Amino acid sequence: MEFTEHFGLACPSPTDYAALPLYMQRLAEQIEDAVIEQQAQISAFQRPPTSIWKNDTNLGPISNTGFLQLTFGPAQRVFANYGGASQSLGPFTGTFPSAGLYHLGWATNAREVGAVNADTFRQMRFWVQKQTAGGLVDVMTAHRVVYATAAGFGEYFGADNTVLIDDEFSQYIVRMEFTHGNTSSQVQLTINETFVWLTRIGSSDAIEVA
Amino acid sequence: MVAFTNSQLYPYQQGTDAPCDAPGVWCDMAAMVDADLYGLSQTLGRINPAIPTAKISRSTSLSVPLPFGALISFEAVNWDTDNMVDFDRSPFRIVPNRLGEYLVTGWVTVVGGASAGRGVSLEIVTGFAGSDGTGGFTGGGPGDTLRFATGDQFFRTATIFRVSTPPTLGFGLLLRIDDVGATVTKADFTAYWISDRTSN
Repeated sequence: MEFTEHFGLACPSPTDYAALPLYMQRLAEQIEDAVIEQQAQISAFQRPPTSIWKNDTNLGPISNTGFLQLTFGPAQRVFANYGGASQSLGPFTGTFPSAGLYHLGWATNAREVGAVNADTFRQMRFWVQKQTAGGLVDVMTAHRVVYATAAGFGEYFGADNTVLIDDEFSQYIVRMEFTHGNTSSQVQLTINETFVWLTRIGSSDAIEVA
Repeated sequence: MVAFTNSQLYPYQQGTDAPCDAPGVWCDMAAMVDADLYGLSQTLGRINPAIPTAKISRSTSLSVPLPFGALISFEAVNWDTDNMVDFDRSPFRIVPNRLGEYLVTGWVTVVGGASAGRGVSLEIVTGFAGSDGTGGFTGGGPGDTLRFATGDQFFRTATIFRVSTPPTLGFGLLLRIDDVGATVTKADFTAYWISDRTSN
């Protein structure tokens, strides 16, 4: 029997033709294995794990002395192309489905429920943290602060950043906390106006082929 | 007579062909399948498991000179899958090696200086060969304001760049602040390849 250069596909020698059915089966199975592997690689590239969450209730309102800690569960997930346990996002573990490089971001509209104090801050703090033996460690931040106008339509703002999630991916959490400086009225994150997303960029390994 | 498949022209015997010729036709077919599978695996190696991407960061204070601002210099390589970062050559740049479209994003923490209400602009730039100055194409960089004289304030920018001509000076993160004494206390800068781009 002879074998091809790259994938070792079998082909019979001139005197082997009596065993052609067996060799044909072997060849078919080898090709199938190679094609399945390539299909998996194509799928991994075409469909990087991606999730988008959206708030389905008003978050808050809170006064300028409080803070709002955001959490999103499976019910708030408006898009996802992967399943499993990683369906929630918040100050608890289990958000990331695997190790790798991720791009995360958020956008929101902070609306005053009453009077607006112009030039007061609206701030979202956004961390990815890892639980370690020594406590929580910040591994990425995507905070953003903007300042209110007097128009009263709320303040749209957002931020994004990238992060390396290592093999202990089940130990990572995503923390979001909103605060503001509007003294004349409370501020809320109105229903359907806060989005959080993550998508896996790829592996942190060196690329194989230029 | 040996026949061939429609697309890839893989040979195969037909009913009247001599059985003793089968091994030869078979090996020709297997060799062609092997070559096609190898070509696909080479293509897939460009995108799986990793794509060209790099992230650099700094976490020590950097004064921002007036009035034109400065490219932020970075201190650490968070990751680099395609040899895009070389701090000996330039601590300011991520230099892509593969042509295509790149998503580039930057984020900074700034502590104000002497006064509030100052203009801020965070831009992603590509420069001209032989220079680490500003210029070239810029992206992102919406106008913003340093509202307070003290305390952390956060700015971000992102855009998509086309890399169509090697070599390139790469991407840099430019911060302009019209505020005496402002400093950058933290900065992150990421670029990652999102697609090939065939030339027009």
